[in-house]
Amino acid sequence: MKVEKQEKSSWLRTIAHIDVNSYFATILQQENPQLRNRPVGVIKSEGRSCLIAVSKEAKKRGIKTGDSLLAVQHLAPDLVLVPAQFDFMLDATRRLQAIFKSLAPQIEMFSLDEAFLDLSGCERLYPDLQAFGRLAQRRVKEELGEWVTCNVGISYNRFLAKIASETSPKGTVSFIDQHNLNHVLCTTAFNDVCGVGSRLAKKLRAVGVHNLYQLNLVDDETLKLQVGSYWLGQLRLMAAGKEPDLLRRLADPLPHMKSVGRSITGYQLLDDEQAIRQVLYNLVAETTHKARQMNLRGRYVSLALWGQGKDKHFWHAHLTLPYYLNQSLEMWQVIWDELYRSWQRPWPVIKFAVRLGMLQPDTQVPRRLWPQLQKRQSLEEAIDKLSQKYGLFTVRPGTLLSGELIRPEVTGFLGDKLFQL
Amino acid sequence: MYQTINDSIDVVGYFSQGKFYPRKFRWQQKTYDISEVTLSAFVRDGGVRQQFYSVVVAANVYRLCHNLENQQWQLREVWCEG
Repeated sequence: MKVEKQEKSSWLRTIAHIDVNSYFATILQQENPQLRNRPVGVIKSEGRSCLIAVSKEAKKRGIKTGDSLLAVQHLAPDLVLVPAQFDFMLDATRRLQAIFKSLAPQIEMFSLDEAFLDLSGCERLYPDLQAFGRLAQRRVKEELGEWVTCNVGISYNRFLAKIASETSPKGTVSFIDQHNLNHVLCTTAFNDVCGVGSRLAKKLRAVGVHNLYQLNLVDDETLKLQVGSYWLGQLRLMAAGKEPDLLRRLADPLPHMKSVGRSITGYQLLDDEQAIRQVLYNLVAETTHKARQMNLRGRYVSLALWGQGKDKHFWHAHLTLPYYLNQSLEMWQVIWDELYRSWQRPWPVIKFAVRLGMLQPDTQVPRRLWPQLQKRQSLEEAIDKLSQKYGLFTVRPGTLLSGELIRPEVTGFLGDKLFQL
Repeated sequence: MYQTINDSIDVVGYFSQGKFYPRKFRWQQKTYDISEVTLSAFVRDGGVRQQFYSVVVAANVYRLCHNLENQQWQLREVWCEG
């Protein structure tokens, strides 16, 4: 017991990582008891075939997030498809955030359903970290419902706390310390390691590295040749159980978003210019609305289009402007006249993405004083006021009057929705 | 799948610890006794604040919406299997 106490005090920090299990699907199962204990696939809306989340029962049958319905039907013919309720998820995240704030003096939301809680200095409040984990799990259940379970991983940095929660069975509290560190590094698959994607894992497998521990057995030259100098440094940190840049940057949150954007995959291939125009204007209107909500302006405008089929068509163009903008019409003119017009329309489009980058606070960029721009600015401000009261797109340009509106939604990774919490 | 209804309803419930819990609702001249509130969610559509309640009535799931601006209740959706 004494040894345990000494070890705990020798940890410089105590970090807990809390992750709700199969978040989107679990919330929908909590809402609807008929879905519990059944394989559930969450789709974006009715008619969609890409699974944006799956329940733990579906995962047990080998179905993964991102799978297409056609590809997994043989694995679970009884798969129940449920459209996501993005507004419900965002509200549940707000409630999770409130719980986390009540449990720890410092929290960092990492995505919609997971957060790091810094418990350093809370030893008297939480002398037993196992009990802390159980308390956190109980509070989540009380707030969101009995069906909602979460994993709690505790260690001395974010990287290991996240591995602890990712690799343990659902609904458990687990620890990584100096005693089990090497065992964890040996047994953790790369798909459970934050920051290591499938392409990087494939490159590592090519040199015989299948887990974090094995990285220590490969020399720098071989590793650098395989993954480059940046990843060499990051992987060396991970192999030593230290935080890579991705997680370390959480400690210094950005003062504001670097970019905002919006993408959408359509129900059908679009070849008609009027239809493409409508989709793009809709995405631009939402993007600039988000920028204005955050009082930001950007000068990097980009447009990306995807086709379908074996050729995997992709086209991308961007422009860095000499001025900053956040008005719909201004961004639209760049997207349509400068970028889209340069595309030859060789294939129909299924996916669209627009982005406004190099964002700076409104107060830190020079104002453009052309009377016409001032008028437009006043008009957008008036429309924003109406949107705040009656909802986005209550007042919208004629381009968006026909056809179905594309409305804002959240993704698993918070991205530019962080400002809404 | 959930089937969209969007009909006005009347709701009876009680307050406990600052929260409202619906107990019954009346839809198309029929009263439905709620056995469980499985989820609630606060949603803001512009300035319109709405409180959603997912409720179970005889094993069926209904999504009720309370518009907090005009105090109107709506039955938004019903879960239909198949």
